[in-house]
Amino acid sequence: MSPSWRDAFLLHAQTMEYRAALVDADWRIGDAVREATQPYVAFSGGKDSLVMLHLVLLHSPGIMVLHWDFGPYKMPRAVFAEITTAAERLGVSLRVETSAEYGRSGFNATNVFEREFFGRLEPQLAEEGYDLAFVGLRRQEAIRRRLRIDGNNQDGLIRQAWPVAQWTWMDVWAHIVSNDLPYVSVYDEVAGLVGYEHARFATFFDRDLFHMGTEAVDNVLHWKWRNGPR
Amino acid sequence: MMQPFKVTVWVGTPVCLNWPWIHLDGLTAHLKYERSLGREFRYLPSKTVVSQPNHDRPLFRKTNGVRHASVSVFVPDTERYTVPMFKRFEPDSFPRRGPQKVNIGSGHYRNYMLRSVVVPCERVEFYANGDMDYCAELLSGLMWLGDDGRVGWGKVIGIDLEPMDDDLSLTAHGVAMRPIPVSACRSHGDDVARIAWRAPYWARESVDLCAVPGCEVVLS
Repeated sequence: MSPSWRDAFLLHAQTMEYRAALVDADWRIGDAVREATQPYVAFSGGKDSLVMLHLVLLHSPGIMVLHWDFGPYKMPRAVFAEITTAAERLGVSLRVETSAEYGRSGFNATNVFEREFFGRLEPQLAEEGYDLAFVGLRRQEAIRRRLRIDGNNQDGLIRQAWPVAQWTWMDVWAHIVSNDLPYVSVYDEVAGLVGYEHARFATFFDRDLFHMGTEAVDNVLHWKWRNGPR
Repeated sequence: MMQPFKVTVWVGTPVCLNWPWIHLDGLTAHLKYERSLGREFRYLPSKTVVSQPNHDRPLFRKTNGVRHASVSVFVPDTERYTVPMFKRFEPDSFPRRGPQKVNIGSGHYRNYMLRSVVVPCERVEFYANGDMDYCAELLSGLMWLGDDGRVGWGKVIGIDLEPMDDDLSLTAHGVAMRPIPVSACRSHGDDVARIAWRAPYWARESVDLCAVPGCEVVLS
């Protein structure tokens, strides 16, 4: 991250807007933790879930943190290692779940997360007694997410809480920079092209996302991973 | 006559990329196919490799199967940036089938945004060793460079070819100027990856473990 971006985020961390967002998240987390008997955190490795994890850990240090591994084709092992290292630096031992289909189908695997997570893993988690999932959704990310959050549309077996729902991208980065949180290096690479306001962390070379134009950016930025693990 | 030469393509608009480099041999292979097949070229399968026409004439020198044709060098090598393009359904030219509306939020007629990477350079240079006259003849049919030429990116405004004394097509000052399979290298730096090293560069069959452009190599 360049010094000018860092300074901008540090300045934002001193604003009332950021403090209000922090209080809002803190209130949502406290409320959810009080209501739930056995919550867990869904940690993707992205900036939003990183911030959320950091905030949730202040309330429940021993909470289970679940990470879904998209396999070596869609999540290169170098990036996966960064995610696990980031979790370790926050003092968390990740529970990593994945599907064998990622290895079998490689880049051709589509909709595996929807099938395997909601079809297999979520019922299993519900049986284990988990009754609340902290998910790092934000209203600002997409219109669908805004509508989902505003309508409180719960689409799984386990109820979800969205502590950073009201946060802006500036709030998220301000929290990361001011608390020196370890984030994946992909953000800095992508931000060089599109700026931090548009830098997103997603699966790589994922056919499910090609219609959003990720293919061109992936090909140019992450070309070393284009043909799979070696 | 085979000789080292340099190709300079002057562009009037930024070059759009979907891969970090443009490969000169990939570019000329495309032009050869277009020339020999005419409109039929447009009907070739997009996912399977069709073998080269028989009347092929050697264009580049080869060393261990690797063609002496470098990847693109963008001058000035400025920062890349992205531009969004919007693919929108145009209801005006759509036959109406009753009063129902066309869903543009999802499904077949969904509107979406494509993000493309562009390089705002003034010229693109390639280095080669081969038949310069044949290369000049092929490149005379080049209208645009890079991706999405149909929307105006990489408009070619001039092409210069000049002979050179040194061959910089495979390596220059000890670094690879194009993907070179590690099997063709006596030694190489750490910068290796599984990428395509011969045309067609989109085909799985062309992929091998290669020293990437910019990697220090010593050819075997």
